[in-house]
Order: sequence, then structure tokens, then C-alpha cells
Amino acid sequence: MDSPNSFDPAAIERLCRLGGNKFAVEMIELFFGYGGKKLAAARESQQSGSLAALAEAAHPLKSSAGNVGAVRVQTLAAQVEQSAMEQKAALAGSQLAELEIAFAEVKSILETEKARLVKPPS
Amino acid sequence: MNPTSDNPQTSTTKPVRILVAEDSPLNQQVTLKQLEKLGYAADAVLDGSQALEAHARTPYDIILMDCQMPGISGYEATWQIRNREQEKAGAAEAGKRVYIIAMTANTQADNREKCTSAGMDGFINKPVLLAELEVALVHALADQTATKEMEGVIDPLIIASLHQLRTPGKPDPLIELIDLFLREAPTQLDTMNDAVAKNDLSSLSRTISAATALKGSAGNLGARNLAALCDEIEQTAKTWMLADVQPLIERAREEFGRVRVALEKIKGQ
Repeated sequence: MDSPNSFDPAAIERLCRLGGNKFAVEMIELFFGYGGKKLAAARESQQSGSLAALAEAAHPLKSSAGNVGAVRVQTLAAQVEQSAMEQKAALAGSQLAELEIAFAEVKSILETEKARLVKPPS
Repeated sequence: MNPTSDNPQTSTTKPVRILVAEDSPLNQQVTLKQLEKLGYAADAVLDGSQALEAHARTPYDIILMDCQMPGISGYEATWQIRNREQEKAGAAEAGKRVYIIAMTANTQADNREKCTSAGMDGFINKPVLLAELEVALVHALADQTATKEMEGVIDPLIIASLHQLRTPGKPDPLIELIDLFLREAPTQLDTMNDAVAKNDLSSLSRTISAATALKGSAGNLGARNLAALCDEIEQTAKTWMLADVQPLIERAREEFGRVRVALEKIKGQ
């Protein structure tokens, strides 16, 4: 599940340095909410055949994912956006399926990160 | 103190008005926190339409503009802001030119050209890193200081509007205009000087002609002080007060020196 390139823990460290653990946790939660919404919008657009809307939904996922170290989500969102812009519907569809899996995987990793960050020092 | 280090938030806020236009709440929050860490307070909006409203209300120094936002994109919002600035150029309520930094997750090479064409001044990749943001802000502030110094000599909005006349594959009309001005202005100043020294009717006519011509070309390039001085020379010469014209020509020469330095800088950019 946790492939070497799917998650970059340095991004979470950057968030902690920037605003503390609480801020990092808030950003992870924002990613879950906003990322989930964009992913749902991407799926809906793909099912309705709107490649422009699919590209539009994938684009913000790309940069948001980078802020929490969700590297694979970032890469796949970029691929979905590119394929959708190039009108490659079938390819964008299969990449979107991979993106959904990658999002679920990184969510699980980030839940563990969250638990670590809120844990009181022993 | 190194502001990008892990030091606590800077206690005093720098007097720079910044707007962040970014539709992703996560990216927006991270950028605001980064600005806070660097000692800047900022306003934030979620799309291009809100960015235009905020710009109309507040004279921001810097806008950090996401390129792809729903509705009005960052490119479109920037283009509209530049149009507003040009419409106001020369008007009594003329505002300053806001420095716009593009924030983009689009790494394609032609995107930078697209940002520049829209009127953006700087460029930063997303996700935005603190050190990169700091560098972009330092560049923005340095550029604004240089612009302020130049503003008294050359109107930057006139230069910006001349910049937009560029057509790919053709000579830059702004550079051509500057070169022509720098070639002709010294001759026109010499003509005025020689004519005033002769102090006769034909000299008067030559002085007025040279002052009128220089006033026009200086005005076209936004050299407002020089144009105003030439107007004063023209009006004074029309009253036959040639003795009063000489000191004005000296002042025009000094102002031309400042204009030349500013225009050479613009050419080199």
C-alpha cells in the first residue's frame, strides 16, 4: 500500500514548522474534505462525459495534494488533467480510477500522521 | 534573523498590502500562514471575480494570483486589472500599478509566457514553498521601489500600455519610440539653446517649434515633468520673454538626463 513514492513525509514536517502540529492537522483535514469533493466532481464529470469539467476538477487536486505530501495523488491528478485536456476520455477514465485508489491510500497514511501529531508527548 | 527558519511568527507586520486569490482553501491557508511567518498580513479571496472586487476596493501592493480559478481565471482577472490601470492612467484618481505574482501548478513551458502576456510580473510554482515565496516577494518589493523612483520621471502606466503594442516577430514599438526620442531630444534642446542665444524673431519661432515637438514626444513616453517644462518654454517664448526661457531650457536639460537614465533602464528590462 505504502509505495515509496506515494507519500512525502517532508511536506507534513514543513506544515508543522510553518504553523505547528495543530495547523498541520487542520491542513490534512482540509485536504480530506476539499480533495474528496474535487474527486467526486471529477468522477461525476467523467461519467457525464464532460472532459473540460474533469480537467477543472483534477487541477486543484494537483497542487493541494502537494501541500500534504500526497505525491501519487499529485502525479495522477496531473495525468488526469492532461488526458482530459487532450480529449483522451478512456485514458483519463482509467487514470481517474487509479487516482481514487491513490487518494484512499494516502488518506489512510495521513490518518496515521494525524494521530501521531495530536498524540501528547509521553 | 532568517525569516524562512523555524523562528516564531514575526511580531510586527510589514506595511505591504497583499491579496491572495486562490480557490483551494488548503493552498490559501498555507499561503496565508507562510505570509504570516514572513511578517506580512494579507487578505484572501476564492476566485477571480472576488479578486477584481477586492482590487477595486483596496490599493494592494502585491497580488498572489492563482492562474486557474473557477469563473474568472487568474489570467483574465489580471488582464482586467491592467485594463483598469490603463484607463486610469493620467486621470486625477490614477492609481499605482499592482505587482501580480502568478501562482500556478501548471509547469508547461508556455505557461510563463501566458502569465506575462496577461500582465503578470512574477511567477511561482505550486505547491508554494516558503523560501520561494520569500524570494518572489523580495523581487516584487525591489521592483516596486525602482518603479516608485522612476515614477517621478516616467509614468509607468504609459510604458505598460506601450509594452502591450508589441507584436511577435516584429520590432518592439516601445524600443523604437525610445530610440527615436533619445536621438531627437538632444538636437531639440540644442536648437532651443542656440535660438535663444540669437534673440531674434526667427529664433523665437524655432524655439517654440522645438519646444512643441519635444513636449509631444516626451508626453508620448510618459516623461511628464519634461513635457511640462517644454510647455512652459513654449508659453514663455510666445510672450517674447527669451531671457526667461534660458533657465527653463537648463532645467529641461537636467530633466532630460533623468529621463534618459530611466528610459535606458526600461530598454534593458
